[in-house]
Amino acid sequence: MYSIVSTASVCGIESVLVQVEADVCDGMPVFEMVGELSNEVKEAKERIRVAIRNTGIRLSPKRITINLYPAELRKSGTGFDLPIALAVLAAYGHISSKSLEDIVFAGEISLNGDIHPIDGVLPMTIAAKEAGKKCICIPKANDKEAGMVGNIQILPAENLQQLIQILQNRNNCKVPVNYHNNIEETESKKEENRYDFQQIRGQKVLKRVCEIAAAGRHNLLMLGPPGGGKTAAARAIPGILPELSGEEALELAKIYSVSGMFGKREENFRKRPFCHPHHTISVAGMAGGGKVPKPGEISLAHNGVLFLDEMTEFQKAALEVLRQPLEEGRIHLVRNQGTYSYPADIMLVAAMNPCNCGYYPNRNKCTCTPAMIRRHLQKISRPLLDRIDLCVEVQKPGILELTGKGKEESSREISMRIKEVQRLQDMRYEKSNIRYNSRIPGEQIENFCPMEKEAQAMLAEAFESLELSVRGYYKVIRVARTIADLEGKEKISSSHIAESLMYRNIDGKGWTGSDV
Amino acid sequence: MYKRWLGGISGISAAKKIALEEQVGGAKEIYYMNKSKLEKIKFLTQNECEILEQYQKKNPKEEQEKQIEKGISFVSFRQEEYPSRLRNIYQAPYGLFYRGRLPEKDKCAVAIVGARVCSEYGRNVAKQIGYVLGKMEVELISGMAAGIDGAAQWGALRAQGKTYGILGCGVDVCYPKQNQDLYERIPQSGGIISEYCPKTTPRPIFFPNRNRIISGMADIVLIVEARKKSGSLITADFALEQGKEIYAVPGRVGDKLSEGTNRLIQQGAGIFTSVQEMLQNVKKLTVQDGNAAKKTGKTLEKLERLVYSCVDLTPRSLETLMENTGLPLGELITILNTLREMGCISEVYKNYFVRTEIEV
Repeated sequence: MYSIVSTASVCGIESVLVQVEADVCDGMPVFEMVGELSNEVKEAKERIRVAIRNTGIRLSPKRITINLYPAELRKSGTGFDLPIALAVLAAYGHISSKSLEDIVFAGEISLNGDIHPIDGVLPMTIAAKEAGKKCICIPKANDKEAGMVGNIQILPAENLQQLIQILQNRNNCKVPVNYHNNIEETESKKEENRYDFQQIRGQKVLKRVCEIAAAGRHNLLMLGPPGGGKTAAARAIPGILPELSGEEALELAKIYSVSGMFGKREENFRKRPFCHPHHTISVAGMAGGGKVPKPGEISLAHNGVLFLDEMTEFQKAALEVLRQPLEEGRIHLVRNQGTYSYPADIMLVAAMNPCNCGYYPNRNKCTCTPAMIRRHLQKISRPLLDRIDLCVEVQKPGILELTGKGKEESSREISMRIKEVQRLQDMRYEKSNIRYNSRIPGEQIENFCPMEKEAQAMLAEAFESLELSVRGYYKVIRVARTIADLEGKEKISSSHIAESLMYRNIDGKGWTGSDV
Repeated sequence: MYKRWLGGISGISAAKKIALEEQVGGAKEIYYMNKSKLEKIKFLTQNECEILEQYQKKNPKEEQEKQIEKGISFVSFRQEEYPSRLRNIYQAPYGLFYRGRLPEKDKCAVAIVGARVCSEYGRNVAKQIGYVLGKMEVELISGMAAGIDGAAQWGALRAQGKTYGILGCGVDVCYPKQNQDLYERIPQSGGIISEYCPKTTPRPIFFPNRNRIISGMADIVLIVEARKKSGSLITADFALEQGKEIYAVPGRVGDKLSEGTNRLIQQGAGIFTSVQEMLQNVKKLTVQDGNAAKKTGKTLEKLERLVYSCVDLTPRSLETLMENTGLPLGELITILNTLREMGCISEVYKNYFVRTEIEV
């Protein structure tokens, strides 16, 4: 007899539907599987045979042929166990083919028939919904993930035996579970951030720059001696960013779903991700790696913060892969199977010491020679630096600030202002495809950044005297735009430009002044 | 031609070269001496004879032409143009290779030396002193090194003064590399000078030797910043030996970069307070008043004055300035920007500011 069951295969962060066909006929008792299968899929036949026997069903010795199509697509992952098992059972006549219609199945089966969680349930559910399927059957442990999609019935399966019973009774009873879109539910859930700007004493300049960076989603570089509070500030940044929108949250959840890290997002879907890879990270770890690449840190930090602590210690290659994503907001990985494109729209926050010992320009502590400092700074390439909008020097706070009784502003207060800026940005960019000030393309600067006459004059003067690059020039305007937004001003004035110039990137001579 | 050849020989001390020339009668004679004759000269060791023999295989004419093509001149000990101040020092160099010109005999010359790794304060002081000296038409001698040396020489160049860089390598080698600009600018008015044969690459041993020329060429030696153990202190030792006046720029107690200079003062060096005072005993001055060099005072507004008063000679960070002035960040930044545009302060390092004007 012949049967057919729908399942889904994950490709990158998208998913395509795959059909599993089974045919059982008289002949030598063999279990044959075809259809461009990877090793773990081929192993499925052993698991299935044992699992079916352990659920108490005896399969008479017949020739079983399984085909997965489309045949040109490489199938990998363990999610095919369940559909193959059901196809076999249907072909033997233990379940009616009709009861499998309109359901997409995915899940890994263990020898005793338990159904184990798999990666990529979220994109699978989306694919099933888009293909017009009514229901998706996934392992019980993955039900929250599937539940994010909404408007599709979800059948969580715990073990094979129970699932067979449900399917056999399908015509009589309704499908048992139907989750609501649980993104909506978590909207109000506000988790207390462990890192709050309130805990950072003093450091007014640093806080101000963090606020500007977060408001306009500008990339930020912090320079300073060890122990100055760079890391603490970076960790507090996600707390002042506005929450993810539903669409953004879903996109991010997809990335985490295929990486098998969905659990990390489960508590709070709306939270901005914060990734802080250790500096020993490889290129593959940063960009995404594998035959079918798993998303790297830049994709896991999508719509959130990628924090590179001790930026000079990273492998050069691991840093240079950031160039394209920082421009484009996506990363394209080419493998012999095809090109995979992952979202990677990040806010880069980097921290580094100004020299090997970390104390420059305090010449009482630092004995690094100019050549040493230059070599230290050259570890970061110019093109990468060019993509960073804001740069701030962080000083160690004095004892007076540490012990001071003054109340520091909390992240909540800062985030209120940032929300307001976001509202202004949303209004301004309603008709264009950008969302943040930092993403204004060069040709539209004049449109979006009207300036007062004095501001223009000051900028022209600075362009000459500070030897700004063209890219640097635009950056100054973009940052000034955000500063003006923070004040709620439509036109950029000279004080906004002055402040923006103060935080301009270390380009040209500004890098280390006259010494190096 | 042969003098140039003799001057280019490394491995034989300057004193021996001078003595040898005196005994044999001239550099040409040395070039044509055979081995047996060389060995008869008592003060030459076996090794030195061999070196001479090696050099005798070279073609002095060809070398000379090559050097002249590159604009490298040579002056030897016996020649009229040889700097008179240098002639009288212990271990005076046999000859000098130079690009540009040599210091003028009847003009006052001051040597400024100091740490390569210096503070912004030191750099500023050196630059300012160089500037004032340049305006007073005092010649500035230094080592063209990174840090203090280079800063002082830039200051002199800015004032259209003459400055001379004494190198520890061949005059056609730019060391350190980052001073390429300076290396090209100096010979336009002053000169690049070295006792080493062109093409010689810098070696640590050359620099202390070079220092004796720096101090030897000057009337006054000024040390701006030096750590406890510093090459600049070697220059000071030479200056003492050579009987030159020594001045040191005093520093705060506890500043590592001033330990050397403060120690010098303790040992009797003059305390540098102003250029005028330093030069008071010098008779050869052409322009008496360095005040001509001072910039015209600018009028600052009240808040600008407040901010300016908080900006120090040592770099102050934005954070510190904010605390000291008590101004809100936006306002402070606008004022700093104005002051920077006026040239009163400069940003020496990311968000660190320093005064640019020091009265010296």
